[in-house]
Order: sequence, then C-alpha cells, then structure tokens
Amino acid sequence: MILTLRLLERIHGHLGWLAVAALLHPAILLRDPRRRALLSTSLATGLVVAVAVLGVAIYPDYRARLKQRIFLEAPTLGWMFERKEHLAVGVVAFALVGFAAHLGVTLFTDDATRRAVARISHRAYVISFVMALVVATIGVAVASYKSF
Amino acid sequence: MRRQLAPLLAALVGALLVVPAAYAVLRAYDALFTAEANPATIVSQVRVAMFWRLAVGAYLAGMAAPLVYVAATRDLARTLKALNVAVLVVGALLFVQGTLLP
Repeated sequence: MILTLRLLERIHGHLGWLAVAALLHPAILLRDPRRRALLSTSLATGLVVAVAVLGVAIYPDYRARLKQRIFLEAPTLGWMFERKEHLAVGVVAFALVGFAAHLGVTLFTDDATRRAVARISHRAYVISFVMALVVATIGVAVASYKSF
Repeated sequence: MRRQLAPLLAALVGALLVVPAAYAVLRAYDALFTAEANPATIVSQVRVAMFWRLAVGAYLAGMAAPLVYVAATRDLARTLKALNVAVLVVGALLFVQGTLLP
C-alpha cells in the first residue's frame, strides 16, 4: 500500500512538471490570436487533468498519513501545501477554460468576437502556467521533506 | 448551428470561471471569518473542505451558466469582453487567496 502510494506520488510529481512544460507551449503559441494549436492545447490540458486526477486519488491518504505530521514538524511547509492545493484548482480550471475557448474559436465568424475568444484562451493558459509553476515548486519542497 | 453554439461556449467558459471564483471566496471567508482548528491537532476529519468548496463551486457554476448564455444571446461581443476581464479577475482572486489566505 505504502509503496503504491509512494509510486503514485512520484508519478504525480513528475507528470506535474511535465504539465508545467506542456502549459508553457500554448501560453506562448496563442499570443497570436489567429494561431491554431489543437494538439498542444489538448495535450497540455489532458496532462493537467491527468495530474489532477492522480492528486485527488492520493489526497485522502495524504490527509490521513502525512498532513498532521507535516503540520506538527514543519507548519510552514504544511501551509505551503495548502497553498498548493488552492492554486492547483486554478491550474485545472484555467486550463479547461483555455481549452474550451480554443476549441470554440471556430464557432465565431466575425473577427472581433473571434479575437476576443482567442484572447480568453491565451490569458487562461498563461494564468494556468504561472499557477502550475508555483504548484510544482511547492510540491517538490513538500515531497522532499516528507513522503508516504 | 454555429450561431447557436457560440453563446453555449460563452456559457461554458463563464461556468468554468465561476468554480475557481467561488472556491477562492469560500476559502477566503473560512480563513478570515471562521475559527478553524490548528491542522496539527486534527487526527482525522470526514469532511474534506477542498472537495466541499469545489462542489459548491460546481453548483454555482450550474446556476451561472444559463445567465451567461442569456447574456451571450443578447450581446455576444459584450459578454466575451466581460469574460475576458473575468479571466484576469478570477485569476488574480485565486492567486491572492491561494498565496495570502491558505
């Protein structure tokens, strides 16, 4: 059980950093509102969702086995992990917003609305990337202190 | 068909933005106005506050979606402009809450 949790935690962490790298791609590409980047956006968003699902899967065990100990021994890191949770919600939400907006760009026929939707997508991916970077950094700090 | 789908997409984006916004507001309220136990003293807790906040956010998103849809059918350009601003506002809101009010 512990070995499985440890393995899942490692996969979660490594895929998390991959997701950060993957999110940077649409954040850069979509600066141009005419640019289509379906593969990049779908891979980045898919990776973010997969990492989030893994995180949610191990979260109950984190609460049961690690949370109290971390707060007892290193409360600053405990609160950092809380920050990570909150920002991770943003990473997923904004990646989904970016993906939905990018997919839907073609639904808009006139130039002004098309640009507006493309801008939503770009902004959402930039926010998602910044938050993901913070989340992944905190994740490394906490995981290197205590693991399953 | 495409004309009908455009307001739906705006509604979806609006609904998705409501989730992190509600999450940030709920957590900020908890951090500022409720007396929470020190996590170091909690051995086990049935209620997972994070999941609860997400569930409330999803519920509110369901309520917001039809409103955004109606707004988008009336004035699509203006709704998209508002959503563009909302992306930045919600991002800032969650970032401030996430970093300052953990």
